[in-house]
Amino acid sequence: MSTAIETMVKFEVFRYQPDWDEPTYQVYDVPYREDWVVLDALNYIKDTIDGSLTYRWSCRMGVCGSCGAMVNGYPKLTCAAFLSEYLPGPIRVEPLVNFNVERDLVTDLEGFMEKLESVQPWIIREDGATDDLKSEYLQTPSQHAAYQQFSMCINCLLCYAACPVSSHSEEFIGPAALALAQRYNLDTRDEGVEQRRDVILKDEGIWECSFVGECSAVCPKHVDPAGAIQQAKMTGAIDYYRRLLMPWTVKS
Amino acid sequence: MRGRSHEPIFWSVFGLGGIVAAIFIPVIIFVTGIGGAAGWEAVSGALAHGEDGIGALLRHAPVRAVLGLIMALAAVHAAHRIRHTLIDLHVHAPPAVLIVASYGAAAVVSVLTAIVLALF
Repeated sequence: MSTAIETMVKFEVFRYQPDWDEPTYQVYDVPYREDWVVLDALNYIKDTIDGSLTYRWSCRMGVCGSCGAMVNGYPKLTCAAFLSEYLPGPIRVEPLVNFNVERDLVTDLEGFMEKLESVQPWIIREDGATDDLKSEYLQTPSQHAAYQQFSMCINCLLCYAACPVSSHSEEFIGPAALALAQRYNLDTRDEGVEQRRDVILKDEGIWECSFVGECSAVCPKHVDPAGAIQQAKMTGAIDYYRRLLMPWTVKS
Repeated sequence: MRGRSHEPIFWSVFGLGGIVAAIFIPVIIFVTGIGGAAGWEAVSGALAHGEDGIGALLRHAPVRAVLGLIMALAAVHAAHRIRHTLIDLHVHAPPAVLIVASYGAAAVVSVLTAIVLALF
């Protein structure tokens, strides 16, 4: 049995309940464990100090994308943010910025869901053949590699919290949804480029992006949404000039 | 198509300006500012034709045209970046005001560059 005094870490957790006028920060003392992440600390608080603390989590291993929060002002998956990186504390945990807060660390995802759906992130076939489960669409490794990294997105929305454009434009479709649009546009099995074009080529699509690149910097799955948007801007610009200079070569 | 953005015009010139600035401006600085002064032979040889070195180079019309183009594109590149940075920093100005102010400044820089170059 150890006689050493247990190291404690101070947590300042953002608290808000729907019937409160103002959000507040609540301070909790959590014992330090070398192998603990911020999510472990939140679970410790909920289990032993304050059962009313509300936050989303599921897998504990960077796959489900539900435990994102601002940790000391930086968007992180709380399951991947080791306490040891934040010593001696205090560690401030807040809901992801650029989203409305429903309760404590839980944000409203409805707006994102609409944006995600608007880019139709699924394989579209002109012949409607995706309904036919017997169809087979072959793809070479290099064709697969063209979009593979963009398909790693877990919709954790850290990129929206990091994005300066999302902070001033509610309509901006945003990094994850645009990266997923590009993921399907680059898929050789997909024929939906035309259907996605109207949404992607608006100001609120790719063109509001100011290429700060923080979306790619914070992504826990090493997706490069900034790169996806740049690729889409290039094809979008070519498309724009083609319509301007050779309108007879494009469908309306 | 409804809602089509005209941003590609600004973006493509921005992209071109970025490439031009990145590739040519370091070379120009090296050749005119460092290479010549350090007595790098290829440069000092080319500059030695006139008494005033750089001036002799600038008396060639194609040199002036290329320099003017590089300066103008770099100015548009900077203007575009500044415009978007201001928006990101939540500067609440009507979009048209930011466009006129940023690209207008680039136009002024370009015209001044053209005037200076024309004097040689």
